[in-house]
Amino acid sequence: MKGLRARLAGAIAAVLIVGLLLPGGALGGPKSEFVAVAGMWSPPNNFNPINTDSSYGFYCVRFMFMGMVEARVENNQTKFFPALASRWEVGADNQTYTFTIHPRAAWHDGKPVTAEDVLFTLMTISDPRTETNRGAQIASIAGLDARGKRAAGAQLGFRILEPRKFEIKTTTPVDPTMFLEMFGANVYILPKHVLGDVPPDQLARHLFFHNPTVGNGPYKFVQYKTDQFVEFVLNESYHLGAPNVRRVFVRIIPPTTMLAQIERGDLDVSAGFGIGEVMIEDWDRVKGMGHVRAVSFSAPGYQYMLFNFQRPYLQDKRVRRAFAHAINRSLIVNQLLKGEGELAEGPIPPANPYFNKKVRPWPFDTARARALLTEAGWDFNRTIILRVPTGNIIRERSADIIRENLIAAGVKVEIQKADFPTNMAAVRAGNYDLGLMGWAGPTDPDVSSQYRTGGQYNLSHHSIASLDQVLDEGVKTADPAKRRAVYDRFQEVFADELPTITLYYPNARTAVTKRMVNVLFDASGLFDFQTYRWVAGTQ
Amino acid sequence: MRHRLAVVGTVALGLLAIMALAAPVLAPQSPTAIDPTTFQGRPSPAHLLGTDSVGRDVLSRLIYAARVSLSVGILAVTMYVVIGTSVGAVAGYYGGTVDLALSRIMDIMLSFPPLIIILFAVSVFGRPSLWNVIIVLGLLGWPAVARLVRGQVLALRQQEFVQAARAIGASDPAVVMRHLLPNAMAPVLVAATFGTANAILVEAALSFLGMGVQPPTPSWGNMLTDAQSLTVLEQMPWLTVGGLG
Repeated sequence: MKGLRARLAGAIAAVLIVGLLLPGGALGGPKSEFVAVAGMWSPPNNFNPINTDSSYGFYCVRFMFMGMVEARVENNQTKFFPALASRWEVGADNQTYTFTIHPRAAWHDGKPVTAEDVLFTLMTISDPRTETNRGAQIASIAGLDARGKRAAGAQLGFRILEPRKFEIKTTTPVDPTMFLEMFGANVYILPKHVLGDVPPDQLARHLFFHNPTVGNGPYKFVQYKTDQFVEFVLNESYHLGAPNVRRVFVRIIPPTTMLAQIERGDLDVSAGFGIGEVMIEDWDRVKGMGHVRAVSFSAPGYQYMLFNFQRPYLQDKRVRRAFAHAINRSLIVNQLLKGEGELAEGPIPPANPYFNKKVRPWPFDTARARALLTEAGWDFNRTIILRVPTGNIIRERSADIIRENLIAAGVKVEIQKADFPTNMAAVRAGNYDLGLMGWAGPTDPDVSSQYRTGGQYNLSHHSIASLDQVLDEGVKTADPAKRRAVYDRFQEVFADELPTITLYYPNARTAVTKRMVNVLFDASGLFDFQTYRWVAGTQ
Repeated sequence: MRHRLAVVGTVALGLLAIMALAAPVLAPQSPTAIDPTTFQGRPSPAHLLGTDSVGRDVLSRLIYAARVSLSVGILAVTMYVVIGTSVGAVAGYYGGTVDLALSRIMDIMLSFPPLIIILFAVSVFGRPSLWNVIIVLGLLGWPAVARLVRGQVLALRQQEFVQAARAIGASDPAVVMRHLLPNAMAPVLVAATFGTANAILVEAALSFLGMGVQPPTPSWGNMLTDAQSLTVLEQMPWLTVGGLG
């Protein structure tokens, strides 16, 4: 009995000591102006700046790593601001780009950031053996193919002018806005002195990407407690000035408990669009909280429905248009999203500078859908499979509405749900008829990777010549006004052909406690919330 | 009339069974039809228990869900009672090495937390569905029944009437089927009754976690998934009625 009591006391003491050792703020409420806590739904898989396979990873990477410039949309125009580069010039030929790295830009271990690091990053991404998702971002650089890979013996269009100054040449003249967003803002620079000796095929599994202590951004990595939180501390010698908030915890919180955490003041910021939002049912309640600002705004991401073009019966565009008429998309936005969303017929978001207002979504019209299906010779006894990935609750609910709508138009539908990776594998293998999916892209309107024949994310497996032609023209047109006209036409062709049905553009909803100032609300640079601007009060 | 509780239980179960069988007659609407005008609507004359997150009638879904829950309960339990009784009878009757081997298998199966195994099995079986839930519950539930039967058979085996049957040359299957099992059935029936209730609860848990019956088919468990948010719990109690089922 005595032994048991002693052991119990020991255990309690141990729990107390562990509790004291845990960093403040990670578990309890944020207490001071030095600490801020953000919440997102799922853990990051890794912190690899050139291969973060999820938006959760990106959210964390953006604390620690920078590209050459930062992109923001202001007054319907993409503008660029200094990040690692303090100056950049666009040659008169729209083909030569010169960047000067900030004289004080440095790695977290004190070594300077140089043009060698940029060259190393580009050589790594363009190496066919490297696992990366940044290929499309650098594909316009001379010497690289459409996937951003270097052929054997090809010369990369890159020249070091001075230790901190370099020049890049593109294969053809391109729209400078496109180049600056893709290479400038979306390619984060890797430290050559840390990773230079790692063979490219082993890079993705390198321990550095689980413990990235040498970054170049405003925050330094402290620790990641698996599935619990990521901790960052400010970089005092950041070349653009140290951030105001000293320590940031990014906590992993399931959607159903987000509301309670915000209400209790344990959370300062919900990470935001698609990675950390309170549930739509809870939104009105968040709006009513005195200590919280609830902000919603149009966002660049959308939910859409894929057609499997390998099925002959889905290749007739009258069938696809019939489906667009059959699905009550405004019901989904008005009821399921409680009005927090927009409709558009195509992959260019309504808030994007390239959005074509003249292209209207096909209206909800069951009778018209039925007529089109009859005209196209649809077999009304055929049962088709709608594949739905789990995780996004609104998307799962929308599947039930879509099924009812299609049944009303005479189409028999069976829903098959699976977790995201399983569902993705089935879609990639062409083992589906219809599929629900989400997408969020950069501001630049080039969507070749999804909608061109053979594109990396062409999940419909479609090949539509008129679409390919206008997409290719868009990439090759350097003059911004002409380019806009090309993408206006692209959106018309898209609405006519309907390689996919764009279901809705959900608004981004962020909840922020009022003590936080300077929290960026519009996600114009995708998942680039410029968290280093945060200022925390003591309220 | 001597067991009041038993009568109450029988009546409740009977009502439930009638509800399940007569669902198309009793339900005011189709369980999958969407009312575009009210999502998460309050109870009203048009929808006596309100509408769910995609505008479907909660009362109709509750009634139809009884079919799912009862079929899971009855089919899964029938399946594991058959398996459990056979294994238990064999183990108890033959004893020795056979008993040792079968008993250790039961021990191993009983030492895992059931819900975790079921979750694992459902995901290995492929996509979650009503039939997969029934099969998984049926294949995993038998060790408890097998133990009961084994114990009964072990005791009965020593009794005179069994010894007598064997002495006059009755074959093993005949002894087991005619003399042992009929006398071992009472505790099995009790276990099956509780098992049915338990299977219904496990189905609800699985469906709540998204691994059981798939929407739009209603089940009490997947109806409850609507009720995960604080706002729903506090202000939309009609979305939690799946839990009362």
